[in-house]
Amino acid sequence: MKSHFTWIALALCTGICAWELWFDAPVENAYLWWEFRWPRVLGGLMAGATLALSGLFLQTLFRNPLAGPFLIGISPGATLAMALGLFGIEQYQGVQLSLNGQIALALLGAFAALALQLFLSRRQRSTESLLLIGMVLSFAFGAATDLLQNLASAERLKMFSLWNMGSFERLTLAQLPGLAILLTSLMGLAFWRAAAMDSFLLGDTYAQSGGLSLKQMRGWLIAGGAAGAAWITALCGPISFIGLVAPHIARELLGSGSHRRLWIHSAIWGSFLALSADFLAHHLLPHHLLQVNAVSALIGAPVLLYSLLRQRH
Amino acid sequence: MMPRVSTFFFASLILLLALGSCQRSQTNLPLAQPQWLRNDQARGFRLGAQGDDQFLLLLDPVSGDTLGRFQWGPGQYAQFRHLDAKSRIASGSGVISGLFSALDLDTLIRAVDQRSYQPHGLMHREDLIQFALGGNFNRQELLKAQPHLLVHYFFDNSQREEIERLAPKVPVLWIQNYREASPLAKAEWIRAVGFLFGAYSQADSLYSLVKHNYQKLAQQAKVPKPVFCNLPYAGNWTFPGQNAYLSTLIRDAGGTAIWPQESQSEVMVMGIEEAVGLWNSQPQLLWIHPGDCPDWDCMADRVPRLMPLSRQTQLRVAQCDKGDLPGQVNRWYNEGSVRPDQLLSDLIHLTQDSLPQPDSLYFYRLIKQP
Repeated sequence: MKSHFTWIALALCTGICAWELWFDAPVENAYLWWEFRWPRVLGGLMAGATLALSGLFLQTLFRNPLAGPFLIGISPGATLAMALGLFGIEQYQGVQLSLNGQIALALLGAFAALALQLFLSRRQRSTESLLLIGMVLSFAFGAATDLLQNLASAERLKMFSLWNMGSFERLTLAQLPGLAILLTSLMGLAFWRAAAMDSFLLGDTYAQSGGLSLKQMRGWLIAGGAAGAAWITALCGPISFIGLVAPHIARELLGSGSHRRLWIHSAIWGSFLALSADFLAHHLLPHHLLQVNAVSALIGAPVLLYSLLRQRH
Repeated sequence: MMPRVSTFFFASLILLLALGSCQRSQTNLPLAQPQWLRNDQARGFRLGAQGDDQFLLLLDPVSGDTLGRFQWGPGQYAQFRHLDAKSRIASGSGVISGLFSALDLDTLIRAVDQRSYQPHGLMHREDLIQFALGGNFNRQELLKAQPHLLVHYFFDNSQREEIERLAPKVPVLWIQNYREASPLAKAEWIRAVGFLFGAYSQADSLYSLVKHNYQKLAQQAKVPKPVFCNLPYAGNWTFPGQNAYLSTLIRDAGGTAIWPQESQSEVMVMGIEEAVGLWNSQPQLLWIHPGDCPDWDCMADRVPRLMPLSRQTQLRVAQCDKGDLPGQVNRWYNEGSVRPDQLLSDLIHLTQDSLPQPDSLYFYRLIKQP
């Protein structure tokens, strides 16, 4: 019964999209609508779903509901790469990075973090060790980013903090097809491997006895989880909590951890959270854009706390 | 015999006590209060004198809270911290160093926060010690410089306490000129620096000249022109608040900032779509400070989505990096706070109808558009 809330969230998503695209749109200028409003709203919708699926894959991989792109070093890796680009390449080498250059750099950082994680954990069998390695990497990347900020000029520091705010405003029309392909691939993966993810969650022995290749399954989950988180971080900057919270809400409302329905519910809640955060960031204070990253955390943190406290009782 | 010895002893004791109390009463004599000079616009400092003694009172320009009381000269005033020496300075920012440079006092500066932010004459000096990097202090380096005075600023009280704790024996002069209400009030701080370091008449003349020029120029700015500033980054467009330094300069130059003038904070952040919507409705626009971009190609590279729109508006784009060399700090920051008249002159040239001759601009440079 509680799963009906997901369909209410879907209806609200449609409502927010309709409001942003038609009722509150810059009707006097088609270029503004097409180049700025449309990519933000549609991009936010897809980015939220992508982050949620990425979070779901990572939580399944680590069999830990606290796993997410932030915790395993992917977002901190992208952030460190951006800091290197802004403070190292641009400030000290005098090379101006283009928009696509910056996105490529953030992607490189995210995947380099993932590669390092995989390299360090190649002999680790327990998922706890994998998670701990991810956390250690996150701390190390965060510390390196802090050190780089000490060397930054005021202008670069401002640019970096703006990038760190996270925003769907920076999405362009040209980026939407790529995002759609990524989301479709992740949804396909979730649909195709839903039963396998269920048995993977029950433990290595159970999964192997059912004929599941653990190595292959881990590979799929890592690739899906990391690609989604890395791509969104590169395009929109760090967007916290959505990847962590959306699968939680879906699980709570479904009352089951079965991936057959969990993935679609997670994706809907991810889209809803992303669109709500973006909507509030734009409309809470007139003429002021708040940090989507902060608003999403403000929405997500109480939801997660509520869910955790309920589980305890 | 005994009574005579005791009489002598007690008489001596009484004499000594009397002398002592006389001396004490001499030092306890209330010293005459300083005569305070009247400031023109600045609210963050007071300059005073009494006989051979001189006084500097530092205040918060907004709240009026006292931030420091200093005195130098032969007298010893209990309420004021006596400055025994002031020839070795540690400067906490490039803007502060700019105040010294304007009076040719930069030889007093021995240590700085971030060498690359310093005025051109200072940043290449080999004996200069870098005691901090963007506000992160290296206490050992600061003490190595053996400064008589640390001249600094703060954003909040915790930062102030932290800086004061770093070198407890070094007096800290808080230069809060960034909190002054107007560019002229900010420029008037040159008088405080001149007074403290024996260059008062030079500083006073400089300030008088700046004020005269500024007020004369501000009267010339008659035609209101729309002005826009900065460059978006990562989907966010930042603008100065209505009371910020740049907003005041734009107003005084006859410009009309087209972003909403309602934010009391120093900086406001808008979404790129809303910001572009503002300037797209203007037939003519002066666009200043386009991020760190030196040319149009850089701007097109950073925000390609803006380029089609830029053709619909008659744009004049100006960057404030004229005469800056690669690797050097922007003069706008260091010299601009001392010479707001020069800044205003540039902005008037840019906002008013006549296109400036290249030589008539000092801080700004027009960016060529395709």
